[in-house]
Amino acid sequence: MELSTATLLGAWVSIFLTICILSFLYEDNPVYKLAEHLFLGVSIAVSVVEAYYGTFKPNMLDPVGRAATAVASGSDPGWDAVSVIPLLLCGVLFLKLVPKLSWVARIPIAFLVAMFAGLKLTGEANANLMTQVAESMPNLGQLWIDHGLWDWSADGAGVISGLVLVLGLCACLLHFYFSAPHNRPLRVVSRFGVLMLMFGFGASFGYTVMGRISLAIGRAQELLGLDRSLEQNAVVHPRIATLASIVLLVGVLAVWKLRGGKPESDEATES
Amino acid sequence: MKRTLPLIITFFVGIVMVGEFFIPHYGYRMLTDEFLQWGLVLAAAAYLLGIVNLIQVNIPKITQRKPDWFYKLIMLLSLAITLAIGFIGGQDRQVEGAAYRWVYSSVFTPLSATMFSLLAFYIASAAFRAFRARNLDAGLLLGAAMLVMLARVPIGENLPYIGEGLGHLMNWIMDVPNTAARRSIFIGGALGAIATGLRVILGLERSHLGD
Repeated sequence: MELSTATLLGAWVSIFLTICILSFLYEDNPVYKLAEHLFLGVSIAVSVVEAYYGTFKPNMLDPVGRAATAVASGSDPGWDAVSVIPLLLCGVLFLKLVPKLSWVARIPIAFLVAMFAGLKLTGEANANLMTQVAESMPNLGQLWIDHGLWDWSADGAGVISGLVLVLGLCACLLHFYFSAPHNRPLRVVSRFGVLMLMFGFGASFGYTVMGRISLAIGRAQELLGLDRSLEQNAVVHPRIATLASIVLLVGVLAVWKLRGGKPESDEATES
Repeated sequence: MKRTLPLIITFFVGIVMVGEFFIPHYGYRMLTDEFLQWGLVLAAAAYLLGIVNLIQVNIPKITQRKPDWFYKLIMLLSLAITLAIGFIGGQDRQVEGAAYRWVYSSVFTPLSATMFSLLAFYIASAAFRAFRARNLDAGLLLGAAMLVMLARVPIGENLPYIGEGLGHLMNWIMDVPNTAARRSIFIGGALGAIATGLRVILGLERSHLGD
C-alpha cells in the first residue's frame, strides 16, 4: 500500500502534536505551550475561513458582486442591491479601530445584539419554555396502558416515572423560586428539588466524563495505530512515531529542566 | 446622537424580529430573514475585527521581546499560514490533497481532540478530591455519576447478574431525574433570556453599547 508523503507526514505530525499536548500531564512546559499556541492560531484561522466561505461570501460578497455586475451592464440589480447594507454595516463596524469614530461602530453592534435578542426572545419562549413545559406533562392514561406502573424492560417507563418527572421538575423550579420565603412546606418541596438536581448533575457529570474518556481513547488508538488498517500501519508506523515523539519530548524536557526551567505558576509565585 | 441612534436601532430591529413570531406573512418573513442574514454577516465580520485586535495586542509583545513572545509569534504565524492556505484553496480547500485539509486533519483535529481529552484526566482528578459521600446530596451526586460511568463501559455492561439492569437504571436516570433537572435549568434559562432580551430591546440593558 502506498501513501502520499503528505499523508505520512500528517500522521506523524498528528502523533507528535498529541504527545506535545499530553506532556501537560507532567507539568506546564515549553513544548505544551508551543502546541497550545499553534492550536490557538490554527483554530482561529479555521473559524475565520469557515465563516468567510460559509457566511460572508455567499450572503454578502456574492450578491454585492452580482449587483455591481448588473449595474455595470445597465440592468436592474434587483434584491441583490440590498446586500450593500450589510457591507456598509461591516465597514462601520471596523471604525471601532479608529478612536475618534469608534462610537459609530455602536450602530452595527446595536443591530447585531437587537437582532439576536429579538430572535432569542421568541425562540427561547417557543423552544425552551413552551415546548419543555408541554413535553413534561405526561399522558398518565397512555403510560398506564403501555407500561403500567413501572416497566423495567422499557427502562422504568410507566406512571411512576411520569409522576417523578413532572413532580421533580416542579420541585426543581420551586427550589429556584425566591419570591416567597422557603418556610416548612416550601422547604420540603425545595429539598426534593435539590435531590433531583443532585441526581441530574451527577448523571450529567458521569456522561461528560465518559465523553472525554472516549476522546482520550480515540487519541490512544491513534498513537498505537489501532484506528488504521494493518497495511496503513506498515507504512505509517504509528508506534515508532509515538516512541520517537516521546523520546524527543523527554529529551527536550530534560534539557529544559537542566537549564532551570520551571512551570509558569512556580515562576509567578516566586516573583 | 452617539447613544440615542444605537438605542433607536436596537428598539426597531428588536421589535421587527419579535414581530416575526406574531405576523405569519411571507413578506414579513422575507424581511426578518434578510435581517438574520445581515446579522450573520456582521457576526462573521466581528471575527475579522477580532483578528485585527489579536494582531494589535500581540505584535508589540513580540517586537519588545516581552515574556512568551516566541509563543505569540508561533500563534500569529500559524494563524497567518492557515488563513493564507484557506483563502488560496478557496472553495476546493477541503478536497483530498489540499493544504488546508491537511492542516485541518493533521493539526487542528488532533490538537482539539487531545485538548478536550486532557480534561478527562483533570475531571477525574477533581472528582476524586471533591466527591465525598458526606451527606445525602453528595451521595446522590456520587452514586448517579458512578452508575452512569459504570453502565457505559464494557466491564459494567458485562457484570454478572446486574450488568443488564445497570443499563436500564442508567437510562432511567438519564430519562427521568436528569431530564427533570435539565428541564428546570432550561426553563429558568429561557426565562432569563426572555427578560434579558426585553431589557436590551427596551434600552434598559446598554452594556453592549459600552455604557
